[in-house]
Amino acid sequence: MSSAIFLGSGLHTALGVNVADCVAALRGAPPQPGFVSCSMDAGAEAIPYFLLSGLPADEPGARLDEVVFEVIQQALDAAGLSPSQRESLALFVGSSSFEIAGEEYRYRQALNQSSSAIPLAECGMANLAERVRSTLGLRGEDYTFNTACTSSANALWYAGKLIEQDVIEHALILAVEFVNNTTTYGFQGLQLLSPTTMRPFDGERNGLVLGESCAAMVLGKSSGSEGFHLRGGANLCDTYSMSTTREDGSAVVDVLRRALASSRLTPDAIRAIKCHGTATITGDAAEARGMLTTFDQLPPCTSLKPFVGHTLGACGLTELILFCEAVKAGFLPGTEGIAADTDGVGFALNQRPMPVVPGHFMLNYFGFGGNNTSLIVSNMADGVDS
Amino acid sequence: MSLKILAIASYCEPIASDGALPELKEMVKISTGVVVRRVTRFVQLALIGAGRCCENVEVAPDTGVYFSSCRGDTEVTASLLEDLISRKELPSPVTFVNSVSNAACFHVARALGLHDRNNFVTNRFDPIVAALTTAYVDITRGEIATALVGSVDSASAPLARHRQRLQVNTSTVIGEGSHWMLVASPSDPRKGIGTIPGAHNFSGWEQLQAWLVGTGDYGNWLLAPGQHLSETDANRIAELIGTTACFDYSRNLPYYDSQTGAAIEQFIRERNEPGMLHVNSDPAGRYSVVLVER
Repeated sequence: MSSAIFLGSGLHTALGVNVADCVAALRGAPPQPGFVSCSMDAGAEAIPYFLLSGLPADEPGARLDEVVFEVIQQALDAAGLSPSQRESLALFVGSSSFEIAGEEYRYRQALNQSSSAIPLAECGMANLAERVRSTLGLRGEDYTFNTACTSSANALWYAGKLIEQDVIEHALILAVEFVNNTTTYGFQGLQLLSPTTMRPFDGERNGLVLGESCAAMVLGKSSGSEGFHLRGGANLCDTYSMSTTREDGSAVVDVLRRALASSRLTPDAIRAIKCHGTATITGDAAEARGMLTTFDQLPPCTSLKPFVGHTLGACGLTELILFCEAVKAGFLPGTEGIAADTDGVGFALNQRPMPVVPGHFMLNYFGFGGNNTSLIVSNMADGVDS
Repeated sequence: MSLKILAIASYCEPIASDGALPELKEMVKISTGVVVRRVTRFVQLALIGAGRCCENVEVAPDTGVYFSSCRGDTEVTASLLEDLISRKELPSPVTFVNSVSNAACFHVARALGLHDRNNFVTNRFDPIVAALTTAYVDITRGEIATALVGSVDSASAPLARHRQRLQVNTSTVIGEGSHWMLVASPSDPRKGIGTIPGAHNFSGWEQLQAWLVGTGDYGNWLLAPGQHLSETDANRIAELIGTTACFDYSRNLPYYDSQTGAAIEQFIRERNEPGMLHVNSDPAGRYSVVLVER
């Protein structure tokens, strides 16, 4: 069966305004997050946050459009599609919060004008997709995924499957997550935010730091080259809890094994793993148990959230682009000083940029609503011995 | 490949003119057999529709859930925004967690004992077609054998605000809809109540026209015009396929966003024609088609 190949990417995170800048920053140590000030009647509070590089967090609506269309342009330029291929692109959007930042701003402004103003005056789950589609003149079908932290991973996975099944020829996948009060205070209320930095799988982990991201990728059908492509994946629902993965790791084991089976690979064929790693006490412990059960010997593991924060619904595509581009550049990112030993959860993260050759790689994502997704990507052709 | 429809059911009720929303808690218990606490109206509607759909059919634990909605859970999201911005109060953890759209998928899966894939996937003008297309591709690839596919549109109080969001006037009867179907691969040994030969998307009229002309004889099928299909389009499609039978399934429905599921259920339950061609469109002139065969 043919597979969906990654033709071009665009990215804007806390690390930089394009793919090259972001990947270059992965060679260093994870940066310190910035802060956002969330103000309530009780007073303003500074909360650590990985904000988009070089972009002040004001006028949310205009800010989102500026970034989204710039990042899409990066992906389209890199993909090199013909005008007719561009026009027929199918669009897949994955996000947790979509345009809620803009809605908060609009509602606040409207309340200043009239006390009878209502929130969500122009609501629609697929409004962002519709605006992107109409602005770019895309004529292909569009899909909007909202499965919490797995949203854009699932968007990418289904885009790949529709390409493999010849339902569509090319797909544009868009992942967005922008700073907003609803998400920030929601996570704070759940006591999941770190007051300092994000240390996934570390014995001293104390929660996550939220991050902003906009990522885009053009997918197409494999033309026989050895570029990165989707090899397989799995998505399973863990109904243990809305906000926590089953603590014994069994749900993680199930989805990892299913992803390997769908890729026709055994665990020892995986060259490296991109962990989800939210730096929460129970989430990381469950993920670690699941990985240690699935793999007799764990391959090198890395975590990208210390670099860009937890970008929620955008983390699927954001971290996949960061990971694949780093591997293409010949290295596996390291998180120096974070989970340097096995004391935290039983395994250590890669500490410094490590040389890596083509192979099969696993990327894991676990979200609210028990939505668990594991993707296998490869930059090695079928039949080549790993 | 045609998907076999094993079961289909819905909840679809108008909202009374005084704006009082029907109580759903007891209906959730009756349709799912479980008591589900601390969930939103949107989740309750999903549970009622999905529960009714699976009431009289065995549902394997590895059934996938594919769920869609045009506007999602506006009640909980609006409440979050009012708490934060208007009342300047922190959202409760439960309210925040319930605000993710796949909360409904989670509760459906938990109530029905399902643990396979679970997706909230939608689009603006024909939400359930997005869910159906992704379910179709998973069954076609042999990744799952059965799929529970649904769409939900909920109302929220006060009704005047809900009307404002829907952009409809006070003379329009507003409603809520939760439409679900259990579909399976053709190899499923159970007797189906219909089949879905396909769900398709077209980038424009020429593509739709070419497909209609090239794929089969729909002359004795029903044409079901979708909510956003113009009368002009409906007439030229009817002429193209040579049918005079137009299915005005929405005539007795209250207004809500995603009515394609209602068309499929009404066709299965109430009509005798061999097939139904449901065609919808969007303002850009793209089209979506769902085929249903008896």
